[in-house]
Amino acid sequence: MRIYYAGDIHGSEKCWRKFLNAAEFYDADLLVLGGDLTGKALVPFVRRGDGSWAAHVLGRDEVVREEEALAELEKRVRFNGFYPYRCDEEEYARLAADPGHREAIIREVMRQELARWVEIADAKLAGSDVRCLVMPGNDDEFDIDSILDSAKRLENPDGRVVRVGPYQFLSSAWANPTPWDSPRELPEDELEAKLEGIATALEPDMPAIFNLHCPPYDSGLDLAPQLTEDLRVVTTGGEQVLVPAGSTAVRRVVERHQPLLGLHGHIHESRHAATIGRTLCVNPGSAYSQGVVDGVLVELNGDRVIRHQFVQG
Amino acid sequence: MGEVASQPSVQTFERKATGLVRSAGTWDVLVYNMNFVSIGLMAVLVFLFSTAFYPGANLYVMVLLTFAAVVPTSLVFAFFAAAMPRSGADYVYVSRTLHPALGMMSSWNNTAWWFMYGGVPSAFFAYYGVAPFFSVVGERTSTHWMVRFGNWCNTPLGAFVVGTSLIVVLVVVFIVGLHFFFRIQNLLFVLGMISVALIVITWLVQGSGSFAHNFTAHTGQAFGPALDKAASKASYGESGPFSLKWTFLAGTWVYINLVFNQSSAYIGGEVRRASRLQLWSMPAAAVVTTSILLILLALADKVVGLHTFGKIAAATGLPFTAVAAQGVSSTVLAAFILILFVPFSYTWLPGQILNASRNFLAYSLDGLAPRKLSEVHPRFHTPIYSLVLVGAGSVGALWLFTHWSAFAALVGIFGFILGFAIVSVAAIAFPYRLPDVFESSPVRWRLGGIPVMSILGAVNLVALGFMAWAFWTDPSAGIEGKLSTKILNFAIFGSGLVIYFAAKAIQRMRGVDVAQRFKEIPVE
Repeated sequence: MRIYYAGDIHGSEKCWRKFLNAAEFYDADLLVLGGDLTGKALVPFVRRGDGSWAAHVLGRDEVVREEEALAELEKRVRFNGFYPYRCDEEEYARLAADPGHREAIIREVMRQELARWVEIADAKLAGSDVRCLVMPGNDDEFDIDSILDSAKRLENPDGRVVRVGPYQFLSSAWANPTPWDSPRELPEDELEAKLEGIATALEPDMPAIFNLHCPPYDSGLDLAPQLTEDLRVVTTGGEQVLVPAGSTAVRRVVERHQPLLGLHGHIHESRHAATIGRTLCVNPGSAYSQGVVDGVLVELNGDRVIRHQFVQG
Repeated sequence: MGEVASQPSVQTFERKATGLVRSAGTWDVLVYNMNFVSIGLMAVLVFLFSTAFYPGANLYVMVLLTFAAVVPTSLVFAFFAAAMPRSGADYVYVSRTLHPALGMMSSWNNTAWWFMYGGVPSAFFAYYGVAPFFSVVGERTSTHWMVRFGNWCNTPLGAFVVGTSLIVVLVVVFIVGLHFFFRIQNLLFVLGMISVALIVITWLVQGSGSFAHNFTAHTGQAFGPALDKAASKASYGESGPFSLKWTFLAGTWVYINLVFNQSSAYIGGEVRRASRLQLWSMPAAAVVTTSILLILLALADKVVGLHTFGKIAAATGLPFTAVAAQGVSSTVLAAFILILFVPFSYTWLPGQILNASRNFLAYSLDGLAPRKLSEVHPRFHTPIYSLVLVGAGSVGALWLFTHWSAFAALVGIFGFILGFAIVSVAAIAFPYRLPDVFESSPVRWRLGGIPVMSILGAVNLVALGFMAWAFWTDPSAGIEGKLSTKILNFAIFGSGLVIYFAAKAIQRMRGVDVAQRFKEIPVE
């Protein structure tokens, strides 16, 4: 079986479309997207009194007048994983002043965009035999789950064990605490209990693959820039100071169950492969903001990983 | 498509999500690039060689011309760093824009020369850091063991042993405690700058008579006809009418340092908004270091006279720090100038070892080098095999540098220029080969409808052509007239292609298609 795994596309529509094409491109039997689907920012396109639209895109202030130019600019915004949002000046002022309203709009736009992604997926994968596992990550709000569940051609494996051919997939979107207090975070002991709870559904004699968004602590797959309390990157001599930011709970669960393979994401900077006991763990990293999907191809035969290859699609 | 907004900027709203961090400090990126330029080594090489062996060269014009030749290169890298904010620099830029084989060719060229240049700065550590301190302080305090040790450091065996010790220490430090090294790197930078500042202050307040008196008293080297005779014997290039050719050629010693002002492209990709920082930090590093060099030249001109400095350099072989130290009456001040300069004498080395080992790790993850090279030490989390390999290569290169005259300090810069040329071609092609990435980048500027990035790539090819001519022609550069080093440059340049296709064939036997690594998945 050939698996194509990627993660952390964070709202980039270009990456999503590429991911859906990956099975055909790499001749993969299974597609797995390991979490963090949704974008991080809303880019308002404000309708001015003269009929033009103003927005701040990729560090530059832009003004467009024609619908075609507006659509092109919105496409660029989506390309980089942001959400374009058309509004008038009054609505923009409310967004700026009212955090509650802003949060509600961001979540609404996020839901709409994800629903559109699901439609794209159902259309693209219609008629294909390839299974496609897509789960949320720690950054994704809970209200996207129902949208994923509504898809015809996508399966959300989060929080359960799913059988795929001769293998069983244990999946979890949750992570250990981060400085950003994202939606799906748990203290290490609770995370371990949660993962062990899912693991009770594992069949003992079937090779297992752990699809855990968060990588194991101190595995080389989890090196992230050290941050100060106000979220500044710590550097010395111009170099970022990198520290392990993975989960000790994930590590303990992997060490205890020794699955065939661990598929991880979460730490974009830490593309790496490492073995923990008998388990090969991989994190392909992420370059979503450039419209590039960092992925990994893993070839399995029985209870062996034959080979793996990192790819930048 | 868009026009510049005249009204207040529209805000972008971020939600709470992981990875939203503040950008790297501007000071940090600037220091990183300035460390790679190495103000200290640049001054050592300019005062030791450019002043002495380039008849008719105007050193002020030389610095400005070299700066002008470097700026297009740094802008090409800065534009790429902004458009593709990932670590790895040319390996990523060229692989994605042109072809993975060319990316490997360009990147391997750098890696191989970083190997080689691991030998050069470790020898400089002995020649321009350790030896002057022990020799000068030993002579001035009549401490004979210091003099003997200083002199030994200047021998091929001494430089090899001292340089190897430095390489071993750095590799061990990088394996067990990279954080410790980075913590002290800023301190070492400050110490080196204090040494340069002491020289600047000394020369600011010192008169030429006082300098000459002290220098002669401490070295026994008289000025006037005696110095002329000694310099002439040491092949000093007699000063003559202004020569543009020799002025340009003298710039090779500036270029070897200044062109590495783009080094943050290799590490600066991970932090959001770092891309815009790169756009100005690379040229800014060149401006700051060039300015410091011009100040040092002007002060040396005032106190010693640049022609006289060239004669001293040719006759004594002393680095400018030792010349300045021997020109002061206070032994304590001389000792401080020399000991504080030691960290500046090898500043290329740590970055070379780190960048080369990072590249090996990347090649290994991509299936282009043995998997062992991407293994990290279970306790220290550092790529131990890559670091040991680079360390061993650096020791080998040090032996070559100290024992084989054909392997001179400037030998490999021609090779680097060949690599920069590939990146320039990639810059020209980038807006056309990857239009989506270009249009979504913060550098999607056009001039007369032509992408500025393409224009810069073309301009840089011209600038690189001039510098290639300079290194090909410069009699001190180690290439001119030496077939072996010319072959070495082209062989290393081409060897990346050989490695790529060999690795591809080996991996194909294992069922892996290496070419897939950078192939873009269709969007529609």
